[in-house]
Amino acid sequence: MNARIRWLAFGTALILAAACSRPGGEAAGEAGAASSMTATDHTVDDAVAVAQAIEADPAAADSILAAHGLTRAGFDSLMYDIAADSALARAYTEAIN
Amino acid sequence: MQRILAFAALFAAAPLVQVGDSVPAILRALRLPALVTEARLAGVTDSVVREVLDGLRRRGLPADEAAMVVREEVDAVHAGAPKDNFGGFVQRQLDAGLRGRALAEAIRAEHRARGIGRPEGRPPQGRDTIRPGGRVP
Repeated sequence: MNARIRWLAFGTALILAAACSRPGGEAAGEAGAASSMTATDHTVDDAVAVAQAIEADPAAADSILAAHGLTRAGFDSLMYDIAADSALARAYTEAIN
Repeated sequence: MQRILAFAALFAAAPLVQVGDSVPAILRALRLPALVTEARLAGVTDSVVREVLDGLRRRGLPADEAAMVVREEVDAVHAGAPKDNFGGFVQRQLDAGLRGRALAEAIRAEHRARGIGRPEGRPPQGRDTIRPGGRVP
C-alpha cells in the first residue's frame, strides 16, 4: 500500500513538474494566473513603452518585461487585450509605427 | 519520498526553453495589435476580429502565434480572400489541434490551394515580420 502511495505521489509530482516547465506554460491561456500584474493594470502607453524599449534592445526583452511588471504570460495577455479593442489597437499601432 | 520530491523539483526547475529563445516570439507578439488593426482597415468587421482573437486566446495560443495566424489571414484578405471567411479555416485547424508554425503553414497551404496569397517561402510584401515597426526599409 505504501509503495502504491509513493508511486501515485511520484506520478503526480512528474505531471506537475512537466506542466510547470513546458514552453507552452507561457501561453496566453494560462496567462492570467501566472502574471504578477494583469493586462488591465497596464495602459496602451505602457505597452508602447515596452514595445519601443524592446525594439531598441531586443536582447533585453525579458528584462524589459520584468521592469514593467510583466511576465511573458501577462505580456501575451496585454497584447491580446489591446488587439481586441479597436481604439486601443489603433492607438498602439500609430505609436509604434 | 524526499528523493522523489527533490527529483521532481529539479525537473520543474529545468527550463526547456533557454533564455534568449523567447526574443523572436516577443517581437512577433508585439505586432499582434498592429496586424489586427490592419485586418480592420482591410474591411474585416470588429465582431469577426474579436471572434477570431477570442478563439485563439481560448485555445491558449500565445500572442506570437496569434500574430502569425492573423498575419496569414490579413495577407489572404489583401490577396482577395472573402472578408467574412476571416478566421474560419483557422478555427477548424485549431479544432484539429494544429498550433504554431504547423498552423501557419496549413493556413498558407490552404490559401495557395485557393490561389490566394504569396508564393511559398516569400515573406509578406513590404512588411517586416519581426520588427514591431513593421515596415521593411
